[in-house]
Amino acid sequence: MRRMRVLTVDDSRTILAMLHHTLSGAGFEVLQAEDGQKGLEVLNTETVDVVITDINMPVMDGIEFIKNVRASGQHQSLPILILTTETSQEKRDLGREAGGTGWIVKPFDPEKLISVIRRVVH
Amino acid sequence: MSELDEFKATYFDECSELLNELEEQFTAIEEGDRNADRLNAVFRAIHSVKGGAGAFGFTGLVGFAHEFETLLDFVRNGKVEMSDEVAALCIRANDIVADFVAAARAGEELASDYGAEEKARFVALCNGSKSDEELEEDGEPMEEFDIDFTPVAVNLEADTASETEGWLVEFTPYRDLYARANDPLLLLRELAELGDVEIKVILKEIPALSDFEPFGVYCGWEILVPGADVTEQSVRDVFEFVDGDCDIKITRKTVSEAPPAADAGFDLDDDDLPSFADLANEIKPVAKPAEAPAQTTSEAGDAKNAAPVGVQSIRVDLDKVDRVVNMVGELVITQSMLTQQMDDNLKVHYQELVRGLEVLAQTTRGLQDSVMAIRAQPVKSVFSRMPRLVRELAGKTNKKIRLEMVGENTEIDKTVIEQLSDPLTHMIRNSADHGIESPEKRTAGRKPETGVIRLSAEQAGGNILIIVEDDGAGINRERVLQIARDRGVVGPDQQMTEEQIDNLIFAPGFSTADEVSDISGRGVGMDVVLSNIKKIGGSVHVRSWPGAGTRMTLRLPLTLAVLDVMLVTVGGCPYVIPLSSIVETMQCARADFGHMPTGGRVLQVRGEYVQVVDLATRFEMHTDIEEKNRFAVLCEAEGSVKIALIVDNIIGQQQVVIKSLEENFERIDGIAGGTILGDGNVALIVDVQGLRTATTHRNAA
Repeated sequence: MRRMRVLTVDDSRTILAMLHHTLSGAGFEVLQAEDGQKGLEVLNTETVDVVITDINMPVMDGIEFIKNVRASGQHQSLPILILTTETSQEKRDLGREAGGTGWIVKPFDPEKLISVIRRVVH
Repeated sequence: MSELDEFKATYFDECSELLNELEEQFTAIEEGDRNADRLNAVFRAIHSVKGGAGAFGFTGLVGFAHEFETLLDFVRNGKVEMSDEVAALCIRANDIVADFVAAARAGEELASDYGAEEKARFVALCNGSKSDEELEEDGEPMEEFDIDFTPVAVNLEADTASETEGWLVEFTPYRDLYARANDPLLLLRELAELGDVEIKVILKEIPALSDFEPFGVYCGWEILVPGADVTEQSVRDVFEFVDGDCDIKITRKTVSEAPPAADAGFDLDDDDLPSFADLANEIKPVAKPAEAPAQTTSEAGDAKNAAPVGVQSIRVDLDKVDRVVNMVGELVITQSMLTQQMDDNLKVHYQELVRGLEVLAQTTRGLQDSVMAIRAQPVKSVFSRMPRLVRELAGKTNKKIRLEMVGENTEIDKTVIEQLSDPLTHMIRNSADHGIESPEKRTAGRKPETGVIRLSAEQAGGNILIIVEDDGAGINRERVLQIARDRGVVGPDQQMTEEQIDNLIFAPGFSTADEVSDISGRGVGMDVVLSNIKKIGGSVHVRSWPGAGTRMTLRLPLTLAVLDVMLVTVGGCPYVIPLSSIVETMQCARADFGHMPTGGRVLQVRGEYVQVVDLATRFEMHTDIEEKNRFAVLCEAEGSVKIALIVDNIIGQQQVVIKSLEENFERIDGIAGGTILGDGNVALIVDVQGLRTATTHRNAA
């Protein structure tokens, strides 16, 4: 079976590094992008099974990114998890309205991260 | 290095970049530039610092950064105005964040109330922006950062939980559930992991196949989750992401009791119900084909859009680059060895080989330059720490100081940059602390009240010049000379030029002289400057104008690895002299030697007397070569002070790769390092500045 592919979008190298470590350790193939714009570029050329994105990013933030992904019409059933330090319902609602599938709160617990991904990916 | 340590290293690297950026942004903000992009960038940077800090459990930092971030969020949303006062608070807060990061990096803890005052002001500013009503609604205006994302469960039936044998979940998705790429199948699968579930589908209106929409919702489910130990929370967790996108009802049920679904009155027999898996299979193919063609077309269409945008970069461990640098160094040696071995006889017979070697030489040189460029970094990373330093010093000394920076984008080898921070800090500290006078004194001296420290970087040939200049009081030469004489650094009758006196502050034994720092104001920490700069093959030169200011110049090599040298022999052994310090060479027979009254030998060059050092004597080598057949190499040390080195023979110029003696053996006075020559021999690199200083002191003593 093909390995599951995860695209992580975050402007923090630390978080990207930790995500990479956790996800590849769990057997996922990991693609990374440092902002929403770069994330879209990756999605244009690569097929991924799930996206994990930060909200606060330069160039294109996470909310815009999700809106763009959903608007493209071709990634409607692509699960997008929002990785955020925001805990307020307001921010979550923004993410959900944009089309986010679920969320992970930073700092993430590796086991929980994997289980959350399993929850949204076939 | 453990993985965690690696992540931490990444984090601290990232932090120092972010803090540098913040410093820049806040400086602009302080100067009145408060556009939205800047405020957003500042918010994001603090947010990133906080995010990483959370991952490593730096709670002090997280707590402070969180309040800071909240304020910045209010500012960028226009709820709090970025007044001069708020800008000043932010700048101080940025310094505090830097302190937290530095402490975390050093593995230390700051006092628990560190930054408490600023934190309180953030909260006050944010609360002040809200109406009382809003505050009441918020209940807890400053949300705790590290709450888990699990919604807090209020289990009203906790006291009877032991009787619970299972849960009945009634679940009907809305269309929106699909729009966010959630899938009932996955939810059911996850519920199934809680235990041996019974799932019933509740069909609503099933349309004709032609009216079937891929994202339409045509059914709901009733799921019985058995198991007394399954908590309501764990059931609720499953539906966490779809809360709001579905009807969900969770009720306590005993398994023995027939689920109400059975008597809910839909007329299909259980046996006739499509199984959970069947249904999923039925739905999926409908959803997929609609999506697949779109994807294929767009993939083809977007392929050209995927071309790289702008400059792309990758991050590489410095270790890896260092390995390449080392190997290129070895390649340079091998190449020069091959060239050396090519005697005239061979050259005539193997012209192809000669051409090949020429190309090799060119390529090697190009490769070397390229590799060096990889390690080059703008000095900005060090410069950007200075505004804070000046701010602090101005505050502590009650002076008005403006820092001007020029040439921040000048690039130097990263290894050089790392060594630059301490010397620069000391130099700036000296300028601010002792160079610049108090506002009163400046006004009395008809100078502007605000003193200026100018920090600049520029490339000059194979060197980088870093200059710290101030318009302060200058060095008190009388006192410096007096102390130098008292300490025996300068002989009682020795005459010194003004420049030489200025440079005395670097002399060994001078830096610890407290009197100097009290009276002349120079000297503290200058030993650090000199030793650090010498370590990286650079030099320091100071020039002062009484009443008008002081200028300190750091001359640094562009790179540490490769050196252009002149190869000479002394007592049959090869030595190399850095080409950058050589002024000219001459045969001793044609040189004009003389003697100093103190007994030292001098060489007269165009009316100027220059100290002579015979390397054979200095390095205790035996030489059979007659004096008249030997050579004098005229070198220039710091501050345009010249010295003539007497050697047996001059072989020629070449490039060498510097190997540290300290790392491989131990430090030797007068020797700056070693190198391996093309023929495999080891040659020592002559430390011109070291020889000059040693000679001056010997003569002075």
